[in-house]
Amino acid sequence: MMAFSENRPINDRARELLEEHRTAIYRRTDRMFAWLMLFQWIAGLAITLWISPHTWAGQQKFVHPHIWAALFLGGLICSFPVLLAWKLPGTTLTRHTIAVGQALASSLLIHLMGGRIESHFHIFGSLAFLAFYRDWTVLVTASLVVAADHFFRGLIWPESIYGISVFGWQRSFEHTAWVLFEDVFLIYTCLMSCREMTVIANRRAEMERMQIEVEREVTDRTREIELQRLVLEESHQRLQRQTNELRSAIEAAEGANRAKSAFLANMSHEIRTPLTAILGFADVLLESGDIGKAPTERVEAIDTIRRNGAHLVSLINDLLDLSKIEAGKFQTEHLPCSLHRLIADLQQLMQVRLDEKKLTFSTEYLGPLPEMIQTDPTRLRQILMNLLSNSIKFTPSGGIKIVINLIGRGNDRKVQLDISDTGIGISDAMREKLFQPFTQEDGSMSRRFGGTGLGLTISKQFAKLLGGDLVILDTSSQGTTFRLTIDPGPLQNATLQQPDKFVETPRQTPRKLAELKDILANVRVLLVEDGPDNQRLISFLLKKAGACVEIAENGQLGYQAATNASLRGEPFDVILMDMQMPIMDGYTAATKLRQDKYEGPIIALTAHAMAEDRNRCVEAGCTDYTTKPVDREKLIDLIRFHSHATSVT
Amino acid sequence: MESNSHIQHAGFRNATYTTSNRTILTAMFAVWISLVGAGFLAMLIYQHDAKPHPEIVSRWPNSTDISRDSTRCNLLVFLHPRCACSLATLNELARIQSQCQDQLAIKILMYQPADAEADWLESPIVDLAEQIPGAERIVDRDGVEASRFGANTSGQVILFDPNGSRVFTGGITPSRAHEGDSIGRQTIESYVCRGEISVDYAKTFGCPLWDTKPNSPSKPRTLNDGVQ
Repeated sequence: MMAFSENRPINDRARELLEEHRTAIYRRTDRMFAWLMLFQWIAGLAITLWISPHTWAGQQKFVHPHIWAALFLGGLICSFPVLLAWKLPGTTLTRHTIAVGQALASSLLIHLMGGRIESHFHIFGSLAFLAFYRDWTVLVTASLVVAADHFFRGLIWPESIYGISVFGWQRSFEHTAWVLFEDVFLIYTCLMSCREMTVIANRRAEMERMQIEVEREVTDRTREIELQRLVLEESHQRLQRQTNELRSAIEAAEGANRAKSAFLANMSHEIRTPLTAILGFADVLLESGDIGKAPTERVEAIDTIRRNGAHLVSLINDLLDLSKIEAGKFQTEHLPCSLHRLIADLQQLMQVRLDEKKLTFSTEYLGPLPEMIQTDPTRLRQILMNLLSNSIKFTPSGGIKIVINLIGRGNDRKVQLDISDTGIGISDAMREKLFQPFTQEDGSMSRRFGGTGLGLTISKQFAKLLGGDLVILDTSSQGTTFRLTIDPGPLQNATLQQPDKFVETPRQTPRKLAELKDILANVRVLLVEDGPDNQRLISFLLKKAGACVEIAENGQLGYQAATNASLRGEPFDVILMDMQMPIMDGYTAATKLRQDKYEGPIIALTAHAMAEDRNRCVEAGCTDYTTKPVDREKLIDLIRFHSHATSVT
Repeated sequence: MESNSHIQHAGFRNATYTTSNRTILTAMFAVWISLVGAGFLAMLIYQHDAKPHPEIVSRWPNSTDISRDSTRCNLLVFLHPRCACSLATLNELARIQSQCQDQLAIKILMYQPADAEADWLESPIVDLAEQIPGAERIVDRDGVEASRFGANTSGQVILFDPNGSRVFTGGITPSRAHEGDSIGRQTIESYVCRGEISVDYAKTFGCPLWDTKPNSPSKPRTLNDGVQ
């Protein structure tokens, strides 16, 4: 095959295709004529056998000479063309020989059929069939044979063709003219067909050129795609490496985070444990004996211990809160909460400090408010306490005002609280980073006013967790206004009331130790605690409340003591279980007791204040949970609640 | 691919289609065309091979049993019922009848040997003769009438004027078993229709009416045979 390269002229390829097409037609038509001539031979013989099988002389018959003519002359006429069609198909000699043979076959057939005028149509049919070659020269050859037959026979033996013995040129011309008449149309058809074949060849050559171009384009594109694929694969591998590095970094960060959490937990535990003793004994000192007769300096010293201890607890709580918020582990509650009551409590709580700085405090309600909203009251209280503490801290004179309003419509309603003070204000530079952790105006502020710089950061995070936000609305040297918004929860069925309709309920004041005397009378408490200071403090507090306290120094001893008491039929009413102890920790001891079907209440008492610590205690089998430093009232109420629950059961 | 294989094939053929081969092929073509020409020539010779006529009567014989129509010309046609070449004669006769119509009394004499088989007259010749309008078909037993008129070849015709004088005798086909314009047909049509005559004789192309072997059952009779 002749390859059709791009550099090759398209006309050359078109000519080649045209020649291929013509050759295919010549070969195909040669084969057709070979079969046709064989068929004509056999058909001529059959017709002769049917029309004139014998010649007669009286009653004698002989084989008719036409039979021999049909057999031998007919066979001779078709032999050479068929041989060429078989051996040399598609050549010029073959198709012109076929044209001659076909014209001679027509002549023989006419003779064998008695010169019937109908048999002359074979000539015209043969010419039409020869037009299949689409080669007009073949028609010329066949027509020349027909014309020569007429002229030579007319010249030599005119009776054989014209029935008269005189040769008539006009008759020969007439017969030939009819043949030429058909030739004109057939030659025209051949030329038109050749023109169409040329057009087809040109189009095919163009298509081949286009195909080559498309293939080249496809090859180029495929190569480009392959290159892109390699680049992508390399990028993928690089990305994979980076992903692995990132995963390692994440794992390292998570490890660091876990280490930080562990550090925070341990730090919290290690600080809370001594603080429990410090704060507890400070309370004991203030409330035991005749404190009124003690020197003022001593009372102030004890109070200073309490206040700084409380600050330290607050700092630890802030750090733990921030840690949980940053870890995304902080979860808020949705409880019914009276906003009016909450603000009143805060006012009452801050009244001492307000009085110390001679500051005024006022609240203003703009429009009605729901009596109860759905929020996390602890966190809301923490935010407001922080804001009020700051306002008091940075307001030398004047007052503090809270404006409460219900804004929004439908399901997008918010409670808006604007806390304004007449303080020193916040500088513009500070305003930008006020809500970033560990940020204060400058070093002197910390020394002058105290604080860690965590309060506003945590408050803003809490505000977001409560479905709102905390922003600085306005600040100047005349004062600052913070705006807190929170989601009040669904208010479809809530009743909106004017502020003056809210029922004031008296706030319970902290009870003194003396008021808690005998509140736990006849309650047997097993205190499992390894720290001797806390042993003394908690047992002192509980004994003051009337409880009978037995102490175990670790989980193993506690487990044995509880088991023995149960076996004696005198089980403890409550077990106070420190969770981190030597030999056997509280988790193991609680778990073993529950495995031994111990059903009494076990209250976890731990310096671990993280949320997961509570869950861990409950999972270990503890009934309830409280943290160190010990909230005296809360602890006693907790023991009383569970001991009563046991006795009721 | 087919066309490509054609190119390769043709290329191979062309490679072997050398000058010597071309010479051989040309010679073969010449031999072939010569043989074919010789064949055609032999066939032409056969087709124009006419039997010589014996002495033809110049007037309507008195010995014949065939009645003569004295009001118009009479055309006697002698046929061998099995002679395939005579189909062309009957087709030409039909054209003459069509041309001359009632001006010509046509009598077709079918030769029948005395000892012929029963189906002797069951042939396409007889069937075609019956289809020529106005023609009288006569069975010529043992060729008696043919002998009386001096005819010996199938396809031979004799034209008599209304007075019984012979005007023309011979064949009405240009060659054996070949239809087409002929001297015989033109002469008959010219005389009957216009009274003109140029020739009185033409060759007759057809089978002999009877066997030429001596002492054969269907040997030619004398003029007086069958005369009653």
